[in-house]
Amino acid sequence: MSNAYTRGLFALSLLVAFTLQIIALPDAVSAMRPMWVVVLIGYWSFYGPNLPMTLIAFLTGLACDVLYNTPLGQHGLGLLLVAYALTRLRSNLGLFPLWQQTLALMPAWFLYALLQFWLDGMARHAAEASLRFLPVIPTIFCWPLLCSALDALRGPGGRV
Amino acid sequence: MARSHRAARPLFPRGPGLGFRTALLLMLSFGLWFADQRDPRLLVQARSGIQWVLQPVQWLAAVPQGVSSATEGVRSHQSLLAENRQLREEQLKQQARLLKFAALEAENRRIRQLLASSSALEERVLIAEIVATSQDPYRHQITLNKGEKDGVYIGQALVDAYGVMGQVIRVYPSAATAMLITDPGHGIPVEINRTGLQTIARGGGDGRVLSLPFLPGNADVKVGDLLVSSALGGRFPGGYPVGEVFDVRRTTGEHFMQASAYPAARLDQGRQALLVWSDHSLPTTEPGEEASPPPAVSGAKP
Repeated sequence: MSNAYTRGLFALSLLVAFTLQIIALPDAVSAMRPMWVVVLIGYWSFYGPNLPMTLIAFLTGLACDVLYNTPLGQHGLGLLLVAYALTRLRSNLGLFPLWQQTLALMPAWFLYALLQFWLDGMARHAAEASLRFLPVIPTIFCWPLLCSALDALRGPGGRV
Repeated sequence: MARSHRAARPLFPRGPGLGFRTALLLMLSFGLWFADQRDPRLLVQARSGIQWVLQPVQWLAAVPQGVSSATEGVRSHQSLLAENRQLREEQLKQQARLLKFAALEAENRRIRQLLASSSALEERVLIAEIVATSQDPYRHQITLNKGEKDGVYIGQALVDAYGVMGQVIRVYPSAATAMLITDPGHGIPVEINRTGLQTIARGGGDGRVLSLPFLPGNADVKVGDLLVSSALGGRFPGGYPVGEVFDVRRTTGEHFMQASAYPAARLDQGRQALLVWSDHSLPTTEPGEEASPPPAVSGAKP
């Protein structure tokens, strides 16, 4: 696949992830909404072509902050750490089967949620902790789904 | 980690190292975060710029809601007739009540004139459409389609047909963000309508309740008491319903009694809200100020 196609796919997937992240859901389901943007940044750091993922993670974080109305930089901190960890892990974990990757990446999503929880605490914005940590569970199952879907879109030999 | 570092190095032969770039941007993020949470006014320009860029995403996310409200428009003739009849009856009842209020208002105005108080009873209001709600379950905030151009200001009170919804916390040129009264960071001065007791209602954080944490141990609060907004503090207009107490707890050995209330406003329903201009320069010492509107408004609540 050409480089331009992959980059286009990247931009499109980011747009879709943002939309899924802020689309209105009933209250009961909303707490279990996966952290789409985080998984997506993770995927492109892990399998992506040579995109400047740190910068992208930072800018995506700013966008998330505006959409969620959090202090600017809060989501960026978490996304930068996820992007860094997954770029580093690609040479170690990349060869393992998908289900083992899914298990191994669980701490990454949890750490992201924990960091958001800490930052909220530091900004004296205390509320129910379960609302921060519940989305981690669907996020774990999101990884194999997103990997398979995006790999299928990129076609055979798409991961370069 | 060290092994992966060596293995990964030949894959990234460009520019400054990944660790360096990450650390740099992490520091930048933290700096931004620190500055923004200290003083939200500092970065409001950058924020509105990013929001302008992200508008297409917000439109996209609003599409399903638009579709569902469009299908809502298709109704049967029967249900429309029934609704029409019901509304007519209601309107008649309201009309009768309104007549009484008109008389009361006239009387009130006369008495006020006697007292030579110049404050106006009618507050200036503006209807704003709710264009987005915060999907972060941690924050109860909404975005309105009215902004600086319409004269919206930070701290402005927001009400709906049933009670106080919240207050404006950020103003953009043509949009504004408001914090709802159930947000854990929100507190509103309230008055218990039955006794006139002044206290503070804070957001419970789970989106459904308000908590009244600072009640004296011997305060006269009962389940079912109506809370109305208090003009003390000068931020909210006085006399709008805020909530209804559903639970009162006395913990033995504690100095304070706790109560919980359901908000009166329908925070999760409807797409319109009223922005209220309250009188900023209101002297808080005026005794008649927040005593007179409550009976009128609370009487209107079913």
